[in-house]
Order: sequence, then C-alpha cells, then structure tokens
Amino acid sequence: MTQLILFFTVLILLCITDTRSMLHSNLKKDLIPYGILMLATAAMGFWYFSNQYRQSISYLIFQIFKIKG
Amino acid sequence: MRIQNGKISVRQATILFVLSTLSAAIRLFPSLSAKMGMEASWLAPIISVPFLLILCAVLQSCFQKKDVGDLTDVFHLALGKIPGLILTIFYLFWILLIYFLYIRYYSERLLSSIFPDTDLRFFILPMMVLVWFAARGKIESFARFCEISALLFTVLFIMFFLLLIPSVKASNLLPITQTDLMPALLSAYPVLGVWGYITMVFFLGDDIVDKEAFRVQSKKGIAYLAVMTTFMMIFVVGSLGSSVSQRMSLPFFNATKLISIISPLDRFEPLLLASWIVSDFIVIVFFARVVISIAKKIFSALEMKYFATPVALMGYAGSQYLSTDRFELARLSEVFALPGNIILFFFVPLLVLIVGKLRKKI
Repeated sequence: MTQLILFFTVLILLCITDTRSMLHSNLKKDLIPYGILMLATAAMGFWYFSNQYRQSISYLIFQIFKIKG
Repeated sequence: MRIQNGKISVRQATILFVLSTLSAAIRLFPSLSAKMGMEASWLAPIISVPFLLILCAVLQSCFQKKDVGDLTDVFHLALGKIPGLILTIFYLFWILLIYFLYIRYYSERLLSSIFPDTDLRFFILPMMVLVWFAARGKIESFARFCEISALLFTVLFIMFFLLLIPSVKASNLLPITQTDLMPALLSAYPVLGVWGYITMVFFLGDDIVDKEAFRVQSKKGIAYLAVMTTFMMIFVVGSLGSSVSQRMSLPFFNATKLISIISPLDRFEPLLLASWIVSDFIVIVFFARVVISIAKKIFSALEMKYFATPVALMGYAGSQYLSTDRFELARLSEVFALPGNIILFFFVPLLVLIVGKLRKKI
C-alpha cells in the first residue's frame, strides 16, 4: 500500500508540474495525449501496486500463446 | 554536414543503434548462441550480416521520398491511414514491452552479479530518474553522449579482448565441419533478434537529417558490429567453451574473471559492469525516446518532452510487473521477444515496402 501511495504522489506532483509548464508554453493541444498517457500509467501502477503478487505480464503472455514457462 | 538544432545525423543514429545492441550482445549472444551453435556459435554474427544488409536496403528504399519523415509515415503511405495507425499502435506496445524487459534485465543483472538479496527498486528507481532527465533533454546531447560512450566501449572491449587472448583455446572453437552448418545458422537467431533494432532508429526519423547517407553509414555500423560481436563470441566461447558458456547467465562477466596479469590488476569486473550499466542506460533511453516519438505521432502532439514523465513512470511500474523472477524473464526473451523482434523488425518492414511498391505509394 505504501508503494501505491508513493507512486501516486510522485505521479500527481509530476502531472501538476508538467501541466503548469504546458499551459505556460501554450501547449493546450498536448494536454489530451499527455492525460491519456498519464491515465494509462496510473491504471498500470494501480493494477500492479495494489497487489504485487498477481500474475505477471510474462505469465499472461505464456498463457495466451500457450508457451511452457 | 551541418546539423540543425534538435536533429541528429545518420552517423549518430547508427552509433545509437550499435550501442543499443551492446547490452543484449553481452548478455544474450555468448549464452544463447552457444546453446544453439556450440563450437560454431562464433560464426553467428557473420551469418547475420547479409540479413542486416538486406534490412538496411529495405529501410533505405522506404525513405526514398523526400516527404517521408519517419517509419510511421511509411506505414501510413504504404498501408493507408487506418491500417497504418493500427500497425503503429502495435509497434508502440511491442517496443514498450521490450523497454520493460531491458529495465528489468538491467536490475536483475546487478542483483545476480554484485548485489544479491537487494530490492529491485533500489536499482530501477535511480535508473528511471536518469532516463526521465535524458528523455526530456535534447536528442543531440544524448547522441553526443553516445558518440563518446562508443569510443570508450571500443577501447575497453579491445583491452578485454587482448587480455583474454591467453585464455582462448582453439579446441573450443574448432574444427568447424559441414555438420555445423545448421547449428551455426540457428545460432544467428538471437543475433538477428537484437540487430533488428535498426528498424527502431527510423521511428526517430523526424529527428534525423541527411537520411540519404544511411547506405554508407549503415555499412560502417554493420562492419563494426560484425567485427566486435564476432571477437566477443570468439573470446568468450573460446575461453569458457560452448557447453560452459550456454549454462551461465553472464558468460562475458565470467570470462573477464579469467583475466590475470599481476594480482592488483586482476579485477576487471567493475570496469565491465560500469560499461554495462552505461550501455543499459543508453538502450533504455533509446527505447523511451522511440516510445515517446511514436506516441507523439499517434496523437499529433507538438512537444514530446512532457511525454517522458508517463513513459518513465510506466517503465518503473511495468518493469516490476513484467515478471516474477529472472528465469521467467529469460524465457520471455528466448521464446517470445526474440522471434517477435525478427518478425516485426525484419519481415514487417519488407512486407510494408512490398505493399507500398504494389500500391505505388513508396
């Protein structure tokens, strides 16, 4: 849980800094793709750090492609 | 040629490619190629050269039109807007996976070589902070850093090779007969999987000037790679033997332990590890920049430096989520990442070129 909180603290702080800088540089158009990428990162971070013992990406790939791990 | 601000030359792009293969070459070639090719494994780089030359010719043909900036433009032109976009997104996910793989390999290597029983995050976190800074910075600064590193790596590797000469046994490398033909061909599989990264350089195409010089520069790069990799295989497999080399997780690291001149100068492993970490840093930043560049193209963004934040954070979480242990990671490399690399970086560009030529778009 500590990792999850730390990860999201860093993510939110960097997000605020970047957004302010983008608005200052008149890059409003880039805010949408930046937001999408940040959301994807947050989703991945939440998915992994909420339960670090869940099946790994490798394991899922082995399952999908029926590879003997 | 005078380089514009924010752009790199083809020569610098070629150096970037050469250095991006270095980390995997040290880790993968002496063990996996030795497993497949046995005594003939040192021929793997030589066998791979014609395939890489063909790939370079394919890439050169893709960029004949002046208005083609990078590989995503080639996909759009050759396949049309929607199929081109789908293929670009697929590449984005693939490169992201390899990016996670390299971050994880970097930390696992430090764990298995000098810092056992240490938390992985202890290595991943500082690396991702550095990657974040480097991916936000100017590409020409990173390219210059690569040029200096290339020079240092060359000197260092030549020194290692010279010092390893007394350990090399000819019986570990010879004789090569006609029965070794098939194993030698198979041993080229990991080499091709890694050398295919040259395709990735062209996702940075918008940042590269004088692409017409690629034919000359790529040949120089390939010659350098072929010589260095062949020597590395000769010295590692020649000193350890193919049966020992294939069973080791870090054969090159173990081979350097054989170096013995006078006792105070015996320990060369820190030098190798330091160069290894630098090469890992280069390859991770390279992948991060490629991911950012593709994302910028997909979303038609104006500035790419801000994308370094999600990409670095994604690398931190994704590399830990990628696998539970080193063995799962090695298996993923061997049976999934390498064949995927060969398909995506060798066959797909060729297919795209053929479709583009048939549609008269390239």
